[in-house]
Amino acid sequence: MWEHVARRLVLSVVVLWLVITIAFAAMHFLPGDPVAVMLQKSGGSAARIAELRHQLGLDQPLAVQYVKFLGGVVRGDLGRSIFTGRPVTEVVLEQFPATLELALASMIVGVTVGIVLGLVSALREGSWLDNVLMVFAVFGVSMPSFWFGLLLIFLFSLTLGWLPATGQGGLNRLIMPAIVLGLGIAATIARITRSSMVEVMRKEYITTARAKGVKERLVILRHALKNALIPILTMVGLEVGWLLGGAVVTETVFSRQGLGRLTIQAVVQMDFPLVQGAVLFMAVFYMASNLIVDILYVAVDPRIQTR
Amino acid sequence: MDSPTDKPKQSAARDKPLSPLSITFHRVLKNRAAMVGLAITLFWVGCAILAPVLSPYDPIKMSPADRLAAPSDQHLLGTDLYGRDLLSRIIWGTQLSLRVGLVSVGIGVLVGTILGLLAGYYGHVVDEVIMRLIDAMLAFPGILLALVIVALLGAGLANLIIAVGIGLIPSFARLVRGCVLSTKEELYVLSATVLGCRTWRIVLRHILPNIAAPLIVLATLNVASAILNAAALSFLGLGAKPPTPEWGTILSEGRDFLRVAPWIMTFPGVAIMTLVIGVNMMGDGLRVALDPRMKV
Repeated sequence: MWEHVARRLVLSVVVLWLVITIAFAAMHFLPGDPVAVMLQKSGGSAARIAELRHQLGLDQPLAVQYVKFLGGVVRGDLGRSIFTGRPVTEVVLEQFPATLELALASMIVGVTVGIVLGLVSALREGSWLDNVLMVFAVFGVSMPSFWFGLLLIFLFSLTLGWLPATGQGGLNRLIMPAIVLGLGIAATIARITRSSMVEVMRKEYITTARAKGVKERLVILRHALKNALIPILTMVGLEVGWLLGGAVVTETVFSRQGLGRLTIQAVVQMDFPLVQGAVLFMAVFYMASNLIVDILYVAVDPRIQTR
Repeated sequence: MDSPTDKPKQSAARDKPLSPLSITFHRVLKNRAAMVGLAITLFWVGCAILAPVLSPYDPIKMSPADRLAAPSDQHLLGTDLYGRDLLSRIIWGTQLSLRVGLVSVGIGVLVGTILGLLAGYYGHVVDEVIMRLIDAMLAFPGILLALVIVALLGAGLANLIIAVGIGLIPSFARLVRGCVLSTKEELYVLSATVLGCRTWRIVLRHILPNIAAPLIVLATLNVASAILNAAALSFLGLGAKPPTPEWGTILSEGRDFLRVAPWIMTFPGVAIMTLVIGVNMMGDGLRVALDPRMKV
């Protein structure tokens, strides 16, 4: 087991190094010149361009810049925001709790609804209920989250006046964003749960359990669902990526604070160090979540320990 | 009337085994969901092709007298802040959405397939380098990679297509690599190698046709996600610029008029969702048809 975890850790370090390198390369090798793009709006003079290049360290040899960048990331120093002058790490860490709150709430909504719908669908395989639920799943993965968010605001805030449309703090301001972000997860998890459960319910050990007279509820929860969990768990890990990407849109629609909205603001303001830092932070968080899921496999499926 | 000699011919034709393509075609035809998806997609493709004929007004011509007009006989889906006809804008927007979806998937398929082929066929160091790079690209969640690329290249439709396309490369590269790894051990590939076939010929004639099926399925499903991602980036102001009639951009313009003109955000949303549902259902149907074991 520990060998498996150690191998994953080493691999993650290699990928992490590549992620940092991509973030660095994006600034230096893509056709767009960050400084030119940044000064596009203000129409900067040659002196201003040189000043900004110096400020960003872009006037140094590439190798020096790379080593400095790498060293900075390792120390947790992601540079300074061009717009506010504040350290990027500080700004990112300040916004992270809001995104984490939204991500956790959405994950709870998505996983709970997804597993319940997937279970019901699998247990009623081929019925009208199964068809209706799977149509819901197609709707869930196809609905643009920004549109769904606006529809909810229109209905529950502007028309019915039940929930505040925007802002932070309190459960009533979290409900709509969590539903918007959770819908896509619920749809994906429902599809995976259904297919996984349908497969498991045909296994011989389920027939054996039933033949032994085990109650159906226990057969489903203890024998079937536990064995169907592996693909669901994989999907939960991958959905963290959807949450972070989706947070960019959801936080903008509901005018919430968070890493997503921060990234968009940084993109609009051409604050490249901040864009780089925020995206790098999210990538590392995503990698860490998938690593945790990988380690959790061992807890869910003891067979992995012996492999 | 059939001549007696025709009968054995007909019977022989009936006994002849169907080609994999015909089997797939028949399976897709039998899949009701796939046919519904195909019908929806064809509806939108028709709208895109016939946009100049179908659209009742110029999609970018302003008409201040008609601003924020509710749906009526004159403007079936209403008008926006500048009095532009929403129906016309949505019909013309179909062209852009489909173009973004298809071209970005084209970029993803092309680059992803080349990388996947190289990694899978040559293995060893080439495989390690390419796949770790792909892993690193996959570490950028959701639309964030596209967001960074758009940020650096600047907003605009062409850059949006490139950004979304680059974001799709990893999924194609991984799929192709996996397929190549299993296909290159097949007897017919080994025979071609032993017979002295050139590498490019083995890849193009023997490997690529055999991995086309999963590639087509993934490409179809990715058209749907490319359309969604592009619309999201446009909604955030990083895609097509006004007055271009792009669905995400129109929806974004409607955001400020939710209370007084909810139709501006409602109809483009319906358009995006139905097109994506159509493509997704078609992709799912293809997946089931090409591999019934993968039915979800």
